[in-house]
Amino acid sequence: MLAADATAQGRGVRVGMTLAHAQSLAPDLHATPATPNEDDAALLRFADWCFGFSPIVAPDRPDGIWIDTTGCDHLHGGEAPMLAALREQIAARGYAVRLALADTPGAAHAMARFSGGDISIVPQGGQREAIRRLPIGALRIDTTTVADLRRMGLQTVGAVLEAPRPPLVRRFGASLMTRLDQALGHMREPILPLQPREVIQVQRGFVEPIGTADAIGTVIDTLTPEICAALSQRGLGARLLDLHCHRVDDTVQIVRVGLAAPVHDTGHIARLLHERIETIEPGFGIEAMRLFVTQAERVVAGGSDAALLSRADCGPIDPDLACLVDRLRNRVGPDKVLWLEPRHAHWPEQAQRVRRVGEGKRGAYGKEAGDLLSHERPPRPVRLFSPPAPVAVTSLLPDGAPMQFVWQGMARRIRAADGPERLHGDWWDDDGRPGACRDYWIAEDELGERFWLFRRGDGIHDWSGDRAWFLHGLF
Amino acid sequence: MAQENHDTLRLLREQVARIERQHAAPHVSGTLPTGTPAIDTHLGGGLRRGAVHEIVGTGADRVTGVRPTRFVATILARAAGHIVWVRGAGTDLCLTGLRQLGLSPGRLILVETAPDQVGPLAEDILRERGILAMVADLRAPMTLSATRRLQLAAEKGGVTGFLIHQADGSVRRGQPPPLPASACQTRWQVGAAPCVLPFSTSSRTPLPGPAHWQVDLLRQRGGPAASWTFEISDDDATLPLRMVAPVADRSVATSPSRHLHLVRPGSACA
Repeated sequence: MLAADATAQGRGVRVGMTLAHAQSLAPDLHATPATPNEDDAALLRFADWCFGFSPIVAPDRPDGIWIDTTGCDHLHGGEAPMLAALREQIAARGYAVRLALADTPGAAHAMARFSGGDISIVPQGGQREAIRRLPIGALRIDTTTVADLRRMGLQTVGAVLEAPRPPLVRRFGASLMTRLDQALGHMREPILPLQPREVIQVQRGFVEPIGTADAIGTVIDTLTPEICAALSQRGLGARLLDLHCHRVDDTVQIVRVGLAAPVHDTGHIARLLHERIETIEPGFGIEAMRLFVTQAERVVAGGSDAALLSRADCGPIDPDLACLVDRLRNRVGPDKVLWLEPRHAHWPEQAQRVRRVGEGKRGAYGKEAGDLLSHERPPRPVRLFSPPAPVAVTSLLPDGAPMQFVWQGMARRIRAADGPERLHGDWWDDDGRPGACRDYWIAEDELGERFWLFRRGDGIHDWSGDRAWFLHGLF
Repeated sequence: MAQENHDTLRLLREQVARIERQHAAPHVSGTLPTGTPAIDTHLGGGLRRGAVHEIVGTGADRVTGVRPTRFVATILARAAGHIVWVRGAGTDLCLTGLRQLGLSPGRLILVETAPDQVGPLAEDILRERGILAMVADLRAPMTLSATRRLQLAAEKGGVTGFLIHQADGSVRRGQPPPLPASACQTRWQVGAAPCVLPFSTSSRTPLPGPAHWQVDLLRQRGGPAASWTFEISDDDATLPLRMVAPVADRSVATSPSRHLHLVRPGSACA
């Protein structure tokens, strides 16, 4: 008998009985052969589901799951509401569950199985008091040790705690005290967390801790081909990669690189990681490095992203460009690597939009009518003042050409002027100012400098603008 | 004896060249033609690829850097490949203006960074492969060693670098200080010259004729400086580069005077 439900236990069936014994107690007992492998698989599936509560989940075989909820409880409004939510959700899936929350995995293990309550929360630092009254079986020690301790009259954990340690260590070996110390938190007990199964990762542990940039670079060169092979096997490309460097002092240095497009190219990824080596602080040394694919996307051969990057009319794209964009983004931030997108607007400063590389309308730079149109238009400066600089202009007629203007404290007499080029604003944009327009002039002063000036309004009608002059750029 | 001397000199020259190019990868040969025969002939085909060229404006343009930008854009419009434009602040480039010069904005990647990071970032971009050129807007001129680093990076990576000097606009009064020495391949100054007004008496304010540019090659490594005046034709939209018709070709080496004479009989000059 490996397990018995509440009804069977009510009829006297106990774990550890032989089947014949149990059947004699309960003739209508429904018994099925044990399938430990399937049970284990089910436990792992269940552990997978528990990732919804915390990123660190470990199976506590054969029948338990550890969840490291450090820093996760506030998401559910505290420890008690979190456990209540967990219990409710597990119950909804048809499982009976006992939950315990404690500072150490050992204490949580003991409380969940032996405290008798469905939910027990051990306050911080209170594991000693909590497990004191539990039977010694709660200590995760083998059954012969339990039996021997019982024979010695030590029935509870508290009794073992108070007994002198050296004779116990001599009698039972160090494992008993190790378990005790682990439950009390005197000794750190690492739990081996499950990795979410979808995560593609490779890792290397080192015999000697490493600390030099060269060594880190060599490890990166070893890890990247493996991860790229794993990616291309699945037909995926990485969008986000995390390199965890586990240091000997138990801290983890994390390097994260993002990619503009899904990539499974070894050289590309290795180059990005190499650039970030200088941000890794090796401390006393790195003893293990792991490379995770945190975010992956399906790679479509010649897909949309490749097309986005190759829309310049300069032939086939060099893969180096995508790599360059990625490196620039990782260096200055994705919001700082930009390109210009044309817009249909009349005011010159609104005729373009600054977009992140890869965003914006596709084919916006194709051989369209817009290209021809821009050649036919009157010339535009290559740089615009933003905002346009207000200038004081003298002109003979209110709607005539400018004669002279003052800019940067210097009077400039206009020798020749071309204009006006009248631009109307988008009527749907100008709130309450329909008919607003600007008159643009190209004016050359006596030094040969060419200015792009505009006057708000047509110079006659007040509704079209206030006749203020601005300098919008130079030619 | 003479032959022996000649050989020794040749050997020494080769050795010097080797030392100079010790760290350089196989050098990217080739030039970026400006499309203007006068300049291309003087430079031996055009601006050298895999080198850094700096351009500065004059007058009001010393701050805005518009004519240097047009100068660079017209040259880059003639070649294929991507261009990374580095700036220390938000961009003021005008898409329509660049497109009118023949430069497709799809080839342009703008990168913004902190002003003190422009130099290091420019150096990294020059080490890239697969792009045509790097253009950096500089608010403050770089030190000699910084430009040397850029030049070495460009020689190694094969990317052509352009530095557009824009004096700090906050210093309104007085001339900006002159540019310090640099290790760039060439230094250009692109300034304005008064245009030739079309002959007309009717209009109070006449229409301007084609713009005139005073293009000075202030210095170039291993070559003489020079100075030209060009007429920029506005009406011919089919030419990506509208830098045509050298009006005067006055080499600095032959004439120390920087005074400009427009030699064009029959035209009125205000």
